[in-house]
Amino acid sequence: MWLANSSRALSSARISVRLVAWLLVPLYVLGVLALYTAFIHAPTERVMGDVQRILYFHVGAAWTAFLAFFFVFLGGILYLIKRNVFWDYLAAASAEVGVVFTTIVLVTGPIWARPVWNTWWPWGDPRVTTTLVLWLIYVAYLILRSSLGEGEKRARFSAVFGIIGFIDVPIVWLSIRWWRTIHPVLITKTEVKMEPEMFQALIVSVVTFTVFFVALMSLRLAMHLHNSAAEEMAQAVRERSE
Amino acid sequence: MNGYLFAGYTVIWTILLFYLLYLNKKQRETGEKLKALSETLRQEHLEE
Repeated sequence: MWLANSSRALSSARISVRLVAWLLVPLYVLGVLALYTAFIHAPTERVMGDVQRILYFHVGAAWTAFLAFFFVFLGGILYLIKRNVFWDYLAAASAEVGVVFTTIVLVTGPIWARPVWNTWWPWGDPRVTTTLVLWLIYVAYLILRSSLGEGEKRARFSAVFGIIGFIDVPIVWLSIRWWRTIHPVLITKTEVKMEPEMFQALIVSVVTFTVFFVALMSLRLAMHLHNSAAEEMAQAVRERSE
Repeated sequence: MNGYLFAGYTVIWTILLFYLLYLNKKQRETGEKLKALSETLRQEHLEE
């Protein structure tokens, strides 16, 4: 039985690694294109100047974090339905990458805010506060995982935590529409309030970050699967020699 | 180039670099685990 589980984990890991290998060249091309569009193609913003170019990677990272946390939510639901540990590992890998991208958002935000809003951290701004809460939720998720040992209990607790934690994602997204905030609403249902070249740069950045997320998440997932297969085989060897 | 813009992009690359280093460390740990396991299996095979 252990051999069957391990070999299934290893073949899933092999697919994940192959996916990462396929994504390397597109990722390189997209990375160069994203830098070109952000720094050369997009015009300089009239009021903020060059510092506004942080927007392209700041928003790209934010979008990717939302996507990552959606995968945590999805992985949690699928684990609870199917009880297959693959979905738990997928959620764990996504949460970790999501935390990395949320960290980028939380660090680049203040660097942009200081020259534009004259403050590093606008306390009381709903989007800033809800994003910080989002980061704390998923850091807590990772701490919860590391504090519980490998097994069904950890996967179940993590799945429930990941599903409930996802509630904050739409709150972050809608915060600038629900409450008074200094974050501008740039994209509405009817219009995009930015120059076409700026919007193109933003789209390229979002696509690049999405591909980068898929590559990182697949890599992390492969590591979880390799580790789990190694643990399982070591356990079986120990039991056999006793 | 604007100093804040430079700082912003430097921070992004630094965070990503540290995460990739962390992944590399994790991968090495798993590799060592697998190496130890294959060594155990080889010794068991020799003993049989």
